[in-house]
Amino acid sequence: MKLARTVYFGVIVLVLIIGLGLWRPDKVKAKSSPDGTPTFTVDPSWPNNLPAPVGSDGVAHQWVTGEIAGTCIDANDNVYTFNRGWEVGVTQNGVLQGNESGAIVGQDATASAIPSPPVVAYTPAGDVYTSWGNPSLIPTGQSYGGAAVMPQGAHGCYVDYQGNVWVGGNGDGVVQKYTPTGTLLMTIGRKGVCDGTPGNSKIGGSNVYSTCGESKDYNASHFLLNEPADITVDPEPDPVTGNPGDVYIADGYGNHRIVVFDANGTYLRQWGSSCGHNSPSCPNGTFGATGGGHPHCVVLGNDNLVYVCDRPDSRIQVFDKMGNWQRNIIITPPSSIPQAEQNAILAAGTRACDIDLYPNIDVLGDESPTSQEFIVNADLGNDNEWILDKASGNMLGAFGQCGIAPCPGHNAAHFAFAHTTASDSQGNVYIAETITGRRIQKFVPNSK
Amino acid sequence: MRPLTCTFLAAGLALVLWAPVVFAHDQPLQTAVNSFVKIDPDQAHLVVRVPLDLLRSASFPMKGNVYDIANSGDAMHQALVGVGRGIVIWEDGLPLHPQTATGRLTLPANKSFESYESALDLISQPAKPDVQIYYDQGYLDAHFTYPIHSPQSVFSIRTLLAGDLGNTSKMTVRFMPLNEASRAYLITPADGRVTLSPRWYQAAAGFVVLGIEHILSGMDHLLFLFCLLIPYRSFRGLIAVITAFTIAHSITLIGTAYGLAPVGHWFPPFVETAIAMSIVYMALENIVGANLRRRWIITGIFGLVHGFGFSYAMKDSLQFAGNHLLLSLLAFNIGIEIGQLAVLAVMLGALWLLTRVKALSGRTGVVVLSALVAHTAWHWMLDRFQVLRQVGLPRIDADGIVIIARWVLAILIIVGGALAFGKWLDQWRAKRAATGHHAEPVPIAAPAEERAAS
Repeated sequence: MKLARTVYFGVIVLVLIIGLGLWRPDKVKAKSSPDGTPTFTVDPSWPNNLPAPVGSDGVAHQWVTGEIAGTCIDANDNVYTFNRGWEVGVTQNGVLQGNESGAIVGQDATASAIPSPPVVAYTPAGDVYTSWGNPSLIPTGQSYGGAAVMPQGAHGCYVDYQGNVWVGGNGDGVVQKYTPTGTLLMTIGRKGVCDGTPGNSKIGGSNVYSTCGESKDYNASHFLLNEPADITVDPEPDPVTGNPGDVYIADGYGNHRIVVFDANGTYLRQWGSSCGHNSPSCPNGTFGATGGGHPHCVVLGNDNLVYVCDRPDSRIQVFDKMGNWQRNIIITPPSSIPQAEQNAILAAGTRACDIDLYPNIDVLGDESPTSQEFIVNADLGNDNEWILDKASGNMLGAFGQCGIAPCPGHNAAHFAFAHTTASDSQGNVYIAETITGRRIQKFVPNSK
Repeated sequence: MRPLTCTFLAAGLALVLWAPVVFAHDQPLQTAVNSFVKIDPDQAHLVVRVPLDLLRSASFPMKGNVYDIANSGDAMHQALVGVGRGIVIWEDGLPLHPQTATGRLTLPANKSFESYESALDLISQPAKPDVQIYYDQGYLDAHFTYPIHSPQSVFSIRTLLAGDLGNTSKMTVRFMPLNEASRAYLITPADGRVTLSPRWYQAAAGFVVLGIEHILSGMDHLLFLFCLLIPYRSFRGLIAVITAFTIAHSITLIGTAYGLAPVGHWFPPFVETAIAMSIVYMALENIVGANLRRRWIITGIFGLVHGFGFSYAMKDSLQFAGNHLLLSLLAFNIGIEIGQLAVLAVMLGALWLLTRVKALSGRTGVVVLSALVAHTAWHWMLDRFQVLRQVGLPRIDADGIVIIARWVLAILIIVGGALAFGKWLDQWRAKRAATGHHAEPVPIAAPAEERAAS
């Protein structure tokens, strides 16, 4: 009885000390991360189940997204994704070309699953907000890819200040502008025709059009693109024309340039060329030669600068809106971690796959109040997402389950081919995976 | 009565007691109207942002895909009239009529409605004629002013904008009374007229009704009460148990309202599962025979869990408490008690009738009824545990440890106090018995000593 009383009062004293804040265990935790660096917790329940419409066969067919290639957020924090599950390639002269890895045909045959529409948007709560895109769902035969209006090789997306949704395809020559409900408003480039020489020797695999691909890099056309990766739209007046709504395109799987069009799709300017090889020390303003994603992302900051992912060179290049180079941010691990871990991170290429400025950049309203103090960076090579200090470029932390030391995987807060990232106005960060992951995860900021 | 009849009776009761598991889900907010209501000494302001896809009453002229801002004067007037009629503000029960109305169209990416001042500033500047706003992709921002008699009046508001969307058409209202802290509301056309500055008696009355409604619609709480009742079958024996339950759930309910409860997706299914477990435990205890004199202690502990459950019911309604948060919480508790007493009265009557059936009288009745309850609650528990598994328990961080510590402290103090009170009560009873008074009626359950001997 005496022992029970001692334990009882002992526990009371302990919880009093903790409960009244006399001892804060979180002070211990704070030592491991620099002050002010945001930390996040994955929301494993986001998104909710996708629809499973009952087909004419009377069977419920579960939507499967396949690879989730693009992630972008609208003014109401709805999360748009550009998915590859519907892609199976193009039939040319009776031969199927380019059976996209993102397609889910095999799963469809075995598990009654069907590909989701190319564009699926989710509410912040994780419900499907809207979905659209052609073809409606996989029809009999596999030749619809050529007839599809949407770009081959679903890739980047962006929701502009007017609420329109832009998509680009890294197996095609087009960037397209849609209303939020999927009405096509404008196309930049030409479907199936790239800014390249005919007779692409690499046709097959994901290359389905003869003029597309990096081996036929022209980097020259004022009308055509060559496998564009990403898009952003500037709500501010153009420095030369004074008109808002310029479209910045990372024309970077075939070409090696940032190309700018006005709101009507008229060419304004471009910058960038191939470095000739891949290295973080490539000359400023050039992009890695091979491997795609040169450049792989383009993001506008409220500092009026253009942040560009030079994926093969593992660096972010920063330009002004006229294309004048400002500085490089090379994705480098902090020196505070063991040398072996640093070496492992540096050994992986393609560390600058996609970025967003944090907090809240995707909707770049003219009253955007955020400081955009950080950069969140999806690292494809290491399967991790870094938090960088925007001013210094220093790596401050990571989203992955294992922190700075990456541990790829398929559990919550693991990554397998982390490809694109976007942050919303509430400080949530979304990270989508393509080839081996095929999902999108939501990370919620921890309260300070 | 024949066994077959008993089986049918039991099956019927099980059906009555069965309730599907229902979990609330947040509606998406993409159709939300965003507003401020500010009270000045001589006028009220309504500053409101309406998504254009909700404004079917006004047809703004188009120039291709985009609105023709330069020629939208007539449509703007029509839209302001529509919004002014759709959102009505009352002062002391009398509708106010707008004195001035100003509006403009705004791009969807605009963030000015993060504060009243920036929203007002935006509306004071007309949209540039060449701004390109796509059809249905933007906002109508409007500012209405209303003359008022006194800033101390009771103000209320109602929205009928996009009323055909029902509960999915939400309107956020940030109410900024004069010389008081501002408060936020989330209302829908289905809410009718909502009082923004209720008097204490208005808030209290509303929450008493809410409490009654909640207990009457909460099947798991009712089943828990029924379970408590089965072995007693008299109101007198129940007094201590019900009192303990009431005090305990009041503690967690009020604690939650003041932000002391854990947060996270995991907590609601955790509480739901624990509530189902509490019913299973009570039912099993009835079956094996409980020490009913000490039952109020475990009931009190389970009451803490049920209090969290009650708190979810009133979470969305707390906004209507105005300045009277604590009073409203107490009123909600009173409502729950009124509902509980009414339910207990009905249940006692039903139990009395059931025990007229020979097969259900005595211990057999306790065992059969408790088994039925245990069966229902067991399925609830499994279903809810599945949900909890899907959501997953959180990793305990430092903030979580602090919250847990506070609750452990509260529980330890309550349990310690209860045990001390129980000890005192036993001594008091023993003294009464020694002086020749009869102990209270022994309930219908196997006494602990008897079970130990068998």
